[in-house]
Amino acid sequence: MPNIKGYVSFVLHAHLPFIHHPENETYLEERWLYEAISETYIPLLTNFKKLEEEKVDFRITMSITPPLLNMLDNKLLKKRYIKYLNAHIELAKKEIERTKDNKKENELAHYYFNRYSNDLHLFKDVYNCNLINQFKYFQDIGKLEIITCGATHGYFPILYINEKTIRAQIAVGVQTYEKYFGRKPRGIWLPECGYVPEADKYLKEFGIEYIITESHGILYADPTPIYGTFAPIVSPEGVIAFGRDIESSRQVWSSINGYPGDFNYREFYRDIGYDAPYEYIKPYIASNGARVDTGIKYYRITGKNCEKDYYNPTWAMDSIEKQAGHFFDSRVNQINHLSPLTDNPPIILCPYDAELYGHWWYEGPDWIYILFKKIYYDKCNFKLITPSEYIDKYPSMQVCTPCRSSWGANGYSEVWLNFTNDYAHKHLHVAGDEMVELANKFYNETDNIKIRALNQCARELLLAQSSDWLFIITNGTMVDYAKKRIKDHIGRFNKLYNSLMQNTIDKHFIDFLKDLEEKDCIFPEIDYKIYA
Amino acid sequence: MPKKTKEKVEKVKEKSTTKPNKAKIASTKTAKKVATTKKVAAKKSVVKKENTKKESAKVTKKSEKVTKTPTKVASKKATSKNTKLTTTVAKTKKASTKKTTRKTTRKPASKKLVVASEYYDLPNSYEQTIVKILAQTPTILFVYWEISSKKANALKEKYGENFFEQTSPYLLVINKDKNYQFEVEINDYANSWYLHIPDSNCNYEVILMRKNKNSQVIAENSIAIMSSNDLETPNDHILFEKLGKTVFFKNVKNGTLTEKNIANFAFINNIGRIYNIYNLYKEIYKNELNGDELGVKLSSSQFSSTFK
Repeated sequence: MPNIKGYVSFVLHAHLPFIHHPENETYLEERWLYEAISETYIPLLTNFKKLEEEKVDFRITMSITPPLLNMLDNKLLKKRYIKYLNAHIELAKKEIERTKDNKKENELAHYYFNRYSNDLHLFKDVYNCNLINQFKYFQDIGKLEIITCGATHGYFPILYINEKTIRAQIAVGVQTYEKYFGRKPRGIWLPECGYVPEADKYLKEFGIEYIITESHGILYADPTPIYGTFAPIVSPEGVIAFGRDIESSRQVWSSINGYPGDFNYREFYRDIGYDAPYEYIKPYIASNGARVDTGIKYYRITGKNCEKDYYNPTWAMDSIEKQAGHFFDSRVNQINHLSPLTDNPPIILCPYDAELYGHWWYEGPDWIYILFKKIYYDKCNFKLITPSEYIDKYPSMQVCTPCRSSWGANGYSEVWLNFTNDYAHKHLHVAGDEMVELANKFYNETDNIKIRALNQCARELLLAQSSDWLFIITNGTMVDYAKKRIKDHIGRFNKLYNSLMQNTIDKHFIDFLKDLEEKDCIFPEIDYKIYA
Repeated sequence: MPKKTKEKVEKVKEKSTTKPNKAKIASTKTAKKVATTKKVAAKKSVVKKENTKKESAKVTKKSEKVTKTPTKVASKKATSKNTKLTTTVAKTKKASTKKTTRKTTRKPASKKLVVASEYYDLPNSYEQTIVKILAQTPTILFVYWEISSKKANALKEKYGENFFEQTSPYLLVINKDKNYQFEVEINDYANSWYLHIPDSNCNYEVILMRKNKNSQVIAENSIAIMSSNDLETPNDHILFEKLGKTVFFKNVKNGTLTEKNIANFAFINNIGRIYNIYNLYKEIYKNELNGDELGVKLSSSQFSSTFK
């Protein structure tokens, strides 16, 4: 039995904003979900299953956000995902024909055909179109700890000036978790790791034990945590905070020499959506004819500013093993260095965006599989652990107030509050105040239509608050879409608010309400009184 | 009936803006504060210069978009917002702004389904008098404000029809922990501003004020319009100086609190070695880490953009 001197805790944050357009199938943004299912969620589940079958004891934590849970549970989106897969299988079949004179491309075309066919088989026949239950299974057997998140990923350091709005974000996040996983969450991923001490009392109110913060959320805490990020701290309100480890984060995240940049790995930016003849690829790209990614990519990163070579899965596997070994050795050394300095065995917390694994870093889920196997079989000085297990083992921790912080660029609120998106905050704040006003005014409402309208107000407000829209505007990618989403949800909220306040409930209003309930159908069980 | 309803709504709106009373308090408060403003003004100019330097250095590191000093950008933004305002006024009258929706809902119902023609613009005004501050970084505040027409009329009634022409707007920034304040001139075209503040990890309040340009018409030197929410700005450094001889540990399972003496050599040595690791990271990863004193932050959001 090896001598365990420390622990490593992997946390993957799985999140996508709520995108659901029953009115129209042409929204490219809806594809984010399908790509994430095929490239991240199914590969992760497949690797978890392999580890289980090989009797490898592993631990991993995932936050699966409420909007993602709602989308994974949505009938229409499930149907459209199957359609997406069928289109990809059809395209891969055509690719087998088109590339028959190029051996390397042809092998890859076969690879994609098999991969998408397998996804379809897994999704329909094995998972019964229910990915949530698959994740739940791994939680129930004790390998995976699932934590919750703010209802719609609203960014607390900006919303908290009306505290009831962050209370609602937490409450609905916890309720959604309970609905799908049949128990209360012990931890929460604060949206964008955005921490404000004002949220602690609400986290406690809804039974949250721990949060994840960016490194300086711990390092700049008051008083200074004597063990740095290598031990959790507890706030005066009783919320436990784990901080991101810098070294292990850099090894994966770094855009300069992080693992995903290995030359043998699949090149993200070369896709047949851009490379294939236009007329041929047209049925599989955007409905307006714009070339977009299809997910079929034939090249590896190869090098910087050079001609791209074909992707070779065997070579990629070599790099996976090499890098898993490097990560493993780095943690062994890190823990050897740290363990004499801390009272309890140190914890190295490694949080990442789940979608980095598979979507961006195509080989990421396989890297996790190889790494976890290595940790289990190679006798080493550390074990994998979840934050909850660590708390149970080592419940004594320093009392400190974490620092207000986020994991966005430069560590505070610049990503979600800058010259490009600052216009939105006033509207979000006013709508938040008005929602509280509605909840108090109509607290004892008995009219069913009004209750439905009030609940829809809560949904529209929550959807408007999603940090994704602000992020996208800053990032300059799908700006029009993000701006429209803010306008639509605020506009819909205002319209409902006015009708309720003026008591102008007529047939038109009911039609309007029905339409919104169908489009913005997130959180079907929401209760607006949460804002009172 | 509709009229009454409208009045009711207006009343509710007024109720929801609880700040006017606070503004009154603020105006009495500021009578004292204004006396110290001269001193602060001297301080302020130093602060401003320092900040501008800091900012220009920082800015090149940060996003490419933020390439100007906040004051400049704010005023630029203000003018662009203003032009936007004039162009959108006509639009929003037709579209469903707060006020107009109220009106349109009172119109006789058209046969066309509302859902078919769903289009929204963000309201220009909520008819509220508010000042809100947010922390963009530990040393930059974002402030936005709005003065309702009711409040504007009340000011005109009290100080004369030309109140807004006879006075100029400014923001009074108050650091409540370190007990100082300074003024930042703004203009009537702006409705938001980025403010540099000298100290992180402090409580701030901002008061929207107007300065008298003509003492023969208005007696008071300055008039408070509305004060903001209180805001604590984030900390941006390791608080070694606040670390005493003991720290407290809590057992989260049974609630027991124990005091740990960290003044002995072994402890200090260990803390030093742990925090030296971060300095080492800073050295190794200097090309990838940027930001504040320690530079420990890796911007994850570069990658979370894979879909977005």
